[in-house]
Amino acid sequence: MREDRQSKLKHLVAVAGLALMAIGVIPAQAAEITIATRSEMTMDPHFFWSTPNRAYNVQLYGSLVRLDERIRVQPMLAKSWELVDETTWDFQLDPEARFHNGEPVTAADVVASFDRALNLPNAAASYKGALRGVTGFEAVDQETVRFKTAKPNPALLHQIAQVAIIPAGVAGTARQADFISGKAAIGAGPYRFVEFKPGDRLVLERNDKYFGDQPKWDKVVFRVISDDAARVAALLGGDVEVIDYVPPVDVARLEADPNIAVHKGTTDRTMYLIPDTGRNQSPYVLGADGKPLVPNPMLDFRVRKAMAMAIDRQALVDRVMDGAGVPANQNVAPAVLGHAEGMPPLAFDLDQARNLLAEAGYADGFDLTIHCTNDRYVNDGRLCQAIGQMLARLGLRMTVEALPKAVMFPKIRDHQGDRTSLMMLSFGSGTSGDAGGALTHTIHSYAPDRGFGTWNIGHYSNAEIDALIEEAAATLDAEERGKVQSQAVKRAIEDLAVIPLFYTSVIVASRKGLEYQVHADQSTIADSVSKSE
Amino acid sequence: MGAFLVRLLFQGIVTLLVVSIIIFVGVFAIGNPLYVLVDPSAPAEVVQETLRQLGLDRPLHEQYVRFVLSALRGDLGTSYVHALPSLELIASRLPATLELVVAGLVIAFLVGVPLGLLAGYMANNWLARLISSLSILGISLPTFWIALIMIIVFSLELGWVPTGGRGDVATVLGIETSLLTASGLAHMALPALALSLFPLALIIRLTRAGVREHNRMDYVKFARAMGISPQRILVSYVLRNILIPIVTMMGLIFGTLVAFAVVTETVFAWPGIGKLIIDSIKVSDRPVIIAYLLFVVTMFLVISFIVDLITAALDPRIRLVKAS
Repeated sequence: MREDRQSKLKHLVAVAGLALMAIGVIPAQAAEITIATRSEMTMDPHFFWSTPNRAYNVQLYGSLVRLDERIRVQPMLAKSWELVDETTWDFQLDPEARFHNGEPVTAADVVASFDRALNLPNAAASYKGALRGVTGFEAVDQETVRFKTAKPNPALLHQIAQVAIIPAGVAGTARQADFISGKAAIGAGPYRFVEFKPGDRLVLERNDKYFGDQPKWDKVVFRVISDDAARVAALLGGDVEVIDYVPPVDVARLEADPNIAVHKGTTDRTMYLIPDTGRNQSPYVLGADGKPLVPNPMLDFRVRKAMAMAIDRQALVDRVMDGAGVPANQNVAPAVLGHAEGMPPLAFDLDQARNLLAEAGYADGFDLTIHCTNDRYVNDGRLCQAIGQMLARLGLRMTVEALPKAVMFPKIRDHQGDRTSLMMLSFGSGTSGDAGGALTHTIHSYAPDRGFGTWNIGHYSNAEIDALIEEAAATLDAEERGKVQSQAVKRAIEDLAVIPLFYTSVIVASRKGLEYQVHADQSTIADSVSKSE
Repeated sequence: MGAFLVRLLFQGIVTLLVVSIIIFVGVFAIGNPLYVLVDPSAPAEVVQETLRQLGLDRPLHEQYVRFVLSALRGDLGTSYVHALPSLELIASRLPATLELVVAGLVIAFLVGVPLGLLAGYMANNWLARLISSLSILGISLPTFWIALIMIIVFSLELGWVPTGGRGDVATVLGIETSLLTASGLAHMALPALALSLFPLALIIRLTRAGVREHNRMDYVKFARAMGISPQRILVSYVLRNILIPIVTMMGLIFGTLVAFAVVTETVFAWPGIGKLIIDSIKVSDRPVIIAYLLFVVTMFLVISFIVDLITAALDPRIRLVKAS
């Protein structure tokens, strides 16, 4: 009897001990997260300007202002800013901001960082491209930096959000290899450098002294897995907790898995078609006799309208994109400032489309080649095939040409060359934060000397729309600018300067029990991962 | 030996020159690499300026002469993406590929030669037939498919090994290796196995054919007549003779695997040079592409030289001068 009680007591003590251990263990357990990502980082923060690099940079180095999940500007190293006059901006640095080496972030560091970003030799994708129209920057005092722009420049905040800030001492002396070894990888971001293995992984740890919102994780491992299937396998196998750029074809399977959660959202990107509306004779438009068709039928609005009506956008999204997308009625995504509200959907009506084509005098159709990339956008090669078939049902004799982007982009960017007669492209707004990027680059008439229309592959040109775009580009007031931009968008789409297809989706997947706040520019950010409540 | 080396060196230089011209013309034909790399919203004048800075606006022959001149100083250009000299980049990724390939070849050799001997020695046995049928399968099934099946079976279903990546590495003499850590070995198991299948199948077939051929030769008949045990004939006499073509073959396979382990490395996210080159081609990282191809040509030249040396050691009748 006594023995019995004793053993019960022992049992209780043991249970209590276990419970105590469990309580003791939970807070001590390091919060660690492993994220498999498609894109490798360039460790030197000023060498290669791209959206994935900016996402890494803002976590490790930090920037004056940062872009949130809806590409809106938020304060970071700069706690506030003001317009001194229309072309002069002053930024107040946060006095609490510290580099990982403990030194305060000063105006001199900011100036040195921008200097380096603009002048780093051998940078093929230079940050110079991000800072167009910025004519100067200087330190006014220890905590104030002044930026000058050539013209009133509403995009300035988004532009400076691209550039990482590092200590002036590092900016002056560091070589590229020093960033890879970690010696020079000093910034002011929420995470500190631990280790970088090129082609394999980047390891970061919590910066305890971060001045802003406390980082969520003690340790973050970014594993570079560029292959889609391998990334999905890594998540399913439990090797990583989060993967970005989930291929849409795997979404249904992942959603059915009880251990996996899928997080979706819309991006700042629209997929669209560019018809050649700039040339009377277009190189890939042929008549039944195999000779170039003059005049180019796509100069006729009715032909463009017929093509737009022959495309079943819902079918594209459902069948080719496995649901990853939303049919578009314009070229600017809903999340973006300048999106035109209240425009009607682009109807799919094959009969009416054929009538329109006949009305325009092309009842027998014509030969047309559609060009697409096959390695740039999700499912781009398959989309190209599907669109080719839809236009073939309209009665056009289609040829589908899907090329690697390494071949395609040089071809279309050579504005003196053949370019294409019809091509599929996508354009995002992450670097301008509003419709300005898409409008100036893809809709405005091609005017290289003034930096307009560099991606206007079809050489569409409309003086009234150009005027609206230029007006918006000089309007500092955001609300006013958005109004003018949506005007321009509306006019351009009513004239089918481009033929919109759908807004793209961002899809991230994680193990069950984790939440992820997706970013419209498809940045992959560790602090956007959180444990489910 | 001296004359042999000089001739080899001369051949090597000519080959490199010819190949470099072919690569250069090919890469030049693709067009401006910056249009692939640069964010679409970068203004055209910035792209033009960068083009000038990098010398990409010069005519083809001028770019080539410039390239050769700096290559002679050991500079093959800086990667547009990774911000590192391309040779350094290749060197930093090479160990990962090398250890994978060596592991794959060791597996192939250790498993393939005994199986091949068995299949050749007992030609009409059911086991021998099974081995040769399997070897045909190994040659004809595509690597990426086998690799994916292996991931599904061993990683996802059984959970024995990770799905990909390199795992922990230990550093020996300044070189990182996965062979000395448990995590490293676990990460390496599947990719090495996947990579070994093709050479394994080849070695089985070569060994089998060799054994069958040599078993009919006079020296084997004599040995048998002398009463030497069949095992000893097989291992000490036949094997030694058939190793020569196997070693030659393995040298070539080694080169091919190092240069083109692309598929295996991509599927298993193995950070080697195969993954480097495929990623570089995708984004038109021109300096890396050129340096990589030149590296591969050099490697094959060196391998064929080493194979000649090993063959000479295995068979004293072969003289190096003749071999060249």
